[in-house]
Amino acid sequence: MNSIENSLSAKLRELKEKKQAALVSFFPLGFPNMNTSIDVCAQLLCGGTDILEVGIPFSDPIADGPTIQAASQQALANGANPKKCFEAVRKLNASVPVMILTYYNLLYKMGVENFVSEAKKAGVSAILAADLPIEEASEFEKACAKHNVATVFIIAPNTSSERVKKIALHTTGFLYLMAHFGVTGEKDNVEDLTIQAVKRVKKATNTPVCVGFGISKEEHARKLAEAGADGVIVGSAFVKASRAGESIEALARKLKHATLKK
Amino acid sequence: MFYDYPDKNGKFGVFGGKFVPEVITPLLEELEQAYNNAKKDEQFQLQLNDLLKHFAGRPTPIYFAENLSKRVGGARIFLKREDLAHLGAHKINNALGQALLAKFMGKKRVIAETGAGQHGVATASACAKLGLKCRVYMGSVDVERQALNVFRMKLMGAEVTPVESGSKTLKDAINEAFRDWIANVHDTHYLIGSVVGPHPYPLIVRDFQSIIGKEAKKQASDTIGKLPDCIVACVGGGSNAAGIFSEFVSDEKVKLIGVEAGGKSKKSGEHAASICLGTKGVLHGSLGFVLQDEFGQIIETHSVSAGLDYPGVGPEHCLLHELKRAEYVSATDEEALEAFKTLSECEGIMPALESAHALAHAVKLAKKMKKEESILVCLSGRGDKDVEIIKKNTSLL
Repeated sequence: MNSIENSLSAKLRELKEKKQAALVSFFPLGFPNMNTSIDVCAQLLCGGTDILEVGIPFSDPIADGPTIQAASQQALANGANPKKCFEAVRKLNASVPVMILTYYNLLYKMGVENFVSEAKKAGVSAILAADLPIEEASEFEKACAKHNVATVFIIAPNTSSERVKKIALHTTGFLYLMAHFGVTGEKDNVEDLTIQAVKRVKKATNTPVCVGFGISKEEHARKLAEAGADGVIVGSAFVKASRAGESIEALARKLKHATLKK
Repeated sequence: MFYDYPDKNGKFGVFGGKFVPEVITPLLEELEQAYNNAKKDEQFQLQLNDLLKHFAGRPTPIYFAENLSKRVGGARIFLKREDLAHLGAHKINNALGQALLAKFMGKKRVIAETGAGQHGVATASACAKLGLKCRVYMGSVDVERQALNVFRMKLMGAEVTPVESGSKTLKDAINEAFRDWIANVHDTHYLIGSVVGPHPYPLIVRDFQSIIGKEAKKQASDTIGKLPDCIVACVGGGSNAAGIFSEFVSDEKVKLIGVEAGGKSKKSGEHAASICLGTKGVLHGSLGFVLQDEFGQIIETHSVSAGLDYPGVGPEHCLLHELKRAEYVSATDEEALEAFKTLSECEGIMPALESAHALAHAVKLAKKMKKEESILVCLSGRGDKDVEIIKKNTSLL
């Protein structure tokens, strides 16, 4: 693994020493409007979130399921854009590392280096572009290295161990393991496929591995933490809870509790 | 000129590439491998040629539009009659090629996106013929304006899934097809209908459509007497244009012109002219000209023809534009409707509204050219599917 030293790497190391998996909480900025989303993020932090992952909405999110698609669409309709999202991160002034999840065209359009540098100035520690594989990422990696922003890349259950190793070489933050075949959204169970994938990936690389897509329950988080995941990523469940007016903080707290390995 | 694209990374100059979620990467590699094998596989080639000849009815003729040429005055206008191919459009060429490829890959299920419905219909037909399960994603706006094609797909056994997200048109149908593919990586082939998407799609679709250009080149001496001075084709994603251009790129005397959808006006949101009015961006897996706002959000487009109503364009067209090997212009809704009417009246041929864009530009061009000169228009499809729209827009005529 290539290493950079920033708040994200420090956080992951700290949790590892404490034998905890990280709770990575995702929420799309601007949903349903910017102020409410900042409020939700604050609740996620109060609930014990270790890494806050914020979405910058894109009009055509091909890796996202209906919940996040609809949220992105609403955020865009209410005027969300990267500039306002950076402003929101600055305002939030989080005590934990903040990472961005978005799609590559938003970086490309703003100028990749400009995007990374603006993100950094706002307090962002890591960036993931969901449709950017390592083959297309050289400009992105250069900008991230220059501004001390960690890179996060996705791996999937069908990514060969050989390719996992290759992707790990480009990853200075963590590997984002897609838990199952499909888009983002809640699922009932953590499949055996996911547990096997975690074990296989952990064997292939020392780079931290966080698991996302379909993780919504304490039981999911516990199983993944036990299987060796360095973090669990929860997103759609928070969007749903916020739509339903349920306590975000309580949900985060429950999930965080489940990441404490025995 | 030396022209050999895409390169091994799937790039057409700076354009193209594979901007996809990681889960799709192994699928693209598998597809590229299978395609390279199929190219050398005699069985595959024999079967495909047989299907193209006996099932799709190829070759399609080049037709001299004598009445139209006389009326316009100027260059002689010829039509490459893709409207006479099975199901009434060039889409069958690619659908058969890829469906056969899916079969050779051992896939059981095919998914596709469609705008005007022509690609959906072609895919449904190819899947029926080859015994593959077929699901077609179609924006709900298009489902409504191309109802006849929805019915045709269903008749041939395809499942049609209306897409309600985003602008509810072609781009959203593509998003949804990608999502399906991500969830069904093991048994499904995504049969993309145009020269768009991540590598190797722009290459594969162009190659399967290059039969249009290969035939045209062979037929030119008998019909036109020489190579045409100019080839005109409509460009949404750009598959019929890529197919006919591909054989003539190295014939530098042949002028290549792609015609985009000018819609109602040049105002943002009122057209679909990605090369003429767009900027560089990444959409649906490749880098090219896209219609987007200052932050990179994709803008909704408008065209009277559903098949051109797309905010991106194939990466190869972006390169041909940048190399100035092809020229890209636009025709408005009104000009396309007028061309539809003109061709119907004077030749008894109803063109698809997509093809009518190419025709509209050809007519303009012919007026400025000499009688000895010739224009070959790729008449990519027939207009039966569009008569409802024509009826609604008669006030424009």
